[in-house]
Amino acid sequence: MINSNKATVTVGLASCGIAAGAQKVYDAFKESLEGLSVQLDFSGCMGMCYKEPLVEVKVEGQQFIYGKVQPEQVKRIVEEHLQAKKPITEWLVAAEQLETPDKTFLNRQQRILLKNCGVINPETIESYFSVDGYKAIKKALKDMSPEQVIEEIKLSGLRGRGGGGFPTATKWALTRRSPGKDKYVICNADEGDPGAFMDRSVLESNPHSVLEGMLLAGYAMGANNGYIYIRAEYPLAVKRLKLALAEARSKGLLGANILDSSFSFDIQIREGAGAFVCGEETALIMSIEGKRGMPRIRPPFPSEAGLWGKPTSINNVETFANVPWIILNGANSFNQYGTETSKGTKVFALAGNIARGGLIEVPMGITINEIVYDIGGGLASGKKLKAVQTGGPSGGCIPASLSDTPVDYESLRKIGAIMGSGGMLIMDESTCMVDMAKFFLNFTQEESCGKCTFCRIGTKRMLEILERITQGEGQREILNSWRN
Amino acid sequence: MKTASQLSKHTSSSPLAIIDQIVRDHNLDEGSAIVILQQIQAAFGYVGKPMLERVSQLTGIPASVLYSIVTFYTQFRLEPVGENFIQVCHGTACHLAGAERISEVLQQETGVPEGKTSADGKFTVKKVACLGCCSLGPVVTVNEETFARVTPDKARQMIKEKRASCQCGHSNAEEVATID
Amino acid sequence: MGQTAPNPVLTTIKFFREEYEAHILHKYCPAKKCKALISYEVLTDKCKGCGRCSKECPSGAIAGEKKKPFTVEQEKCVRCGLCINVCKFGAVQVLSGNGKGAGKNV
Repeated sequence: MINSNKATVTVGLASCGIAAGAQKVYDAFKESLEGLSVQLDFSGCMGMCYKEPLVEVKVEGQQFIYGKVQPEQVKRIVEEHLQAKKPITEWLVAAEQLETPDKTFLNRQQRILLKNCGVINPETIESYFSVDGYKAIKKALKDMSPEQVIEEIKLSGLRGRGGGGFPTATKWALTRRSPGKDKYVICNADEGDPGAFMDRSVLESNPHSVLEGMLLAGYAMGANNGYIYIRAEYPLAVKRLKLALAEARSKGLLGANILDSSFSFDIQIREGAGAFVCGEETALIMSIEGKRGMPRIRPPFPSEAGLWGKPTSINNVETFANVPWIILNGANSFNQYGTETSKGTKVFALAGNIARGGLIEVPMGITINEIVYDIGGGLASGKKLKAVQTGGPSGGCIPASLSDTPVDYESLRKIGAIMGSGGMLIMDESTCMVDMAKFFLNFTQEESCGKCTFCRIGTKRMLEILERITQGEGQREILNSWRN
Repeated sequence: MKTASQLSKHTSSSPLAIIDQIVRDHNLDEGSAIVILQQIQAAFGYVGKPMLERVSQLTGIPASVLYSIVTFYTQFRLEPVGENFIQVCHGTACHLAGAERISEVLQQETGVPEGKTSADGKFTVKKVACLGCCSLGPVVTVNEETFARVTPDKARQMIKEKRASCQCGHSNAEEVATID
Repeated sequence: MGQTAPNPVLTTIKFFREEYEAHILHKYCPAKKCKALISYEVLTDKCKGCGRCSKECPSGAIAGEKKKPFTVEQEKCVRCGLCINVCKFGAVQVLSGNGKGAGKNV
C-alpha cells in the first residue's frame, strides 16, 4: 500500500513515546514535510523505550532509525537526510549498514509477536491487512474445524502468558466441551503488575492481532461473545481498541456471519475501575458483572461456570496475540523456539536500572544474563547487578549469583520466582532488598480485597514486621519463622 | 479524559437529567452498575452520594451496594478533584527511580496530603499503582499530560507553572511575580 | 493473592538473608535506603561553604557560615537526600550503622 519508492517518516506514537515528547516531534515533521513528496505516518511502540522518541526514516527502501529525537532536530533530518539523502550518523540508533550497540538490542531478540509492533499504523486496519492481518481467521474459517484450531494450538505448546502458564489449548478444549449454547471469550488486559507494560504496548501498537486471536478462540470454543477487560489507566490503548473494533466491524470481521461463514462473534470493551485483584479470573468475571471484584473458590472453573454462569475462557493479551501467528505459520514454526516445556517466545518489559530498557521478545530458555547484558546492555548506573525481579508482587527476586538461570516456567519456579506476566526489574547495589520486599507488601496489602483472612490480615502483619525491620527494631527470630 | 467533552455534551441538561440519561442508556444491560458509575464520574469528575442515591432509585440496585462498588475500586472518587489532578506513578520501576521523593516534593509544594485536594481547589495529588511507562520513571501525569523522568526540581517547576496558569479564578498576580 | 503475596519476602530472605540480619542486628542498611537507619553528614574537608544545601534543604536542617563547612542538624533532617543532589563538591555523605540514623522518628 505504501509506495516503496516514496520516502517515509514514521514516528512511534505509543504512550511512552508520547510521554517522551513524540507527539511534538510528529507535529514538527508535519510542518517541515509540507510540500515534499514524503509520506508521514505513525506507528506504536518500537520497543526501544530508552531511546524514545523514535523516528523511522525510509529512503529508497533503506531503513534508518533515529532515537531521542527532539522537535528542534526535525528540520535537519528533513534537509540532510530526506532531501540531500545524507543520513545524520551521530543521531542514528540503527540502520542496515551501521553497527551500533542498539543493534544488538534488536538482533538478540526473536520477535514474533512484536514483529509488527512499531511497524504498522495501529489506527488503520489496512495497515494490519498489509502484514497478513486477518489471514489466520480466514484460513481457519475456510479450511479448519474448531477442533483442528485447538489441536494446532495444543501442538504449538502455547501456555498462558499472563503468568500462570496453563496450557491454552486445554483451557479452550474444556470450554468447548462444556454444555450450553452461550459461551464467552474474555481477554484479560487488566495489566495490574506494577512494572509491566507488555499488554499496553501490544494493544497500542497492534490491537487487531489481539482481536484476531479472540476471534480464533471464539471459533475454536464455539463462543459468540467476547469481552476485553482493560485498565482504565491505559486511555490510549482503550482508544485504539475502540477504533480497531469499529473498523473490524465495518469490514465484516466482527458481527454476524463473519466472512460469510456461519460463525458470528462480537467483542465489547469493559474498562476496569482499578483493582489489582481483578487480574484473577474469577474476580475479573465479577467485575464485568458489575460487582466488587472479589475472587471466589474454584471449582467450578470458569470453563464450566464463568461469566453469567456460562462457560468462559479467559486469556491474556499476549496469549491471544500469539494465536494468529501460530495458525498462519503452523505449530511447528512456533515450538521450534523455547525449551522442552516452555515453547515459543515471551515478551518482557525490561525496566529498572538498565542501560537499554524497553519492550523485548526473547525465546524461552534464554538466560537472565543474556537479557541483562546482551540485550539490555548492562546496568544504567554501571554498578554491579544485585537482583532481578520477575512476576511483580507475586514473584520473587533472583540474586545476581543465579543470573544464569534460564527463563522458562519451571526453572523460575524452582528458585522461588515466577515467570509472571513479563515485568522484569533490574536492580543494582543501591537497592535495599528489605525496602523492596516492603514495597511489594505495601502494594499487596493495599490491594487485598479483604475476602480471605490470610491475605487481609497476613499481609498487614507482614508489612508491620518489615516496617519494624527497616526502622531498626526488627527481631532476629522472625527470619527463622518465615519459611515457605 | 472525557470530562471536558462529556460535560459540554450535557451542559444544557441539569445534573439529575444527565444521570437519568446515563442510566437509561445502560439499564437494559446486565451488570452495568460499574459502567454507569464510570460514566457519571466522567461527566462530573466524581461520584457523590446524592448521585448514588439517584442511580439506586432508577435501577433498584441498593445504594449500599453502589457505595460498596465505589469504595472498592480505586478509580472512583467520592469528592471532586482539583483543577490539576496529579497522579504520581508508584510502580516498581518508578519506586526504584525515586517516586517517593517526587511525592514528597509535590506534597510540600502543593501543601496537600496524599489523595486530598487543596483548599483552593487547584491541586489533587494522588499515588497510582502503575501508569505503564516503566522505562521513563519516575512518571507523573497532570490531567492528560504525562511527564517522564521527573526530578524533584522538575516537579517543583511544574507546580509553579500550573499555579501560575491556573484557570480557577483566584488571583495569581503574586505567584506569577515570584516565578520570574 | 494471599498465597503469593509472601513471595517477594520469602525470596529476599532466602537470597539476601545477610541484608535482613544487617538491619535487625546491626541497625545497618547496606544500600543506605532505609531512612531510620541512615544519616546525612557534611564532609568538612570537601565542603566549600557555598550554602547551596542549606538554601535547598526543605526542613532547614543544614546551617553554617559562608566559606566554612556546614553541618546537618540530625533532629531536623528528614533524610530526603536533596543536599546530595545539589552539592557540586560531593561533600555530603550518607552513613549507616554504628548508631547512625534517627530511629523511626523520621
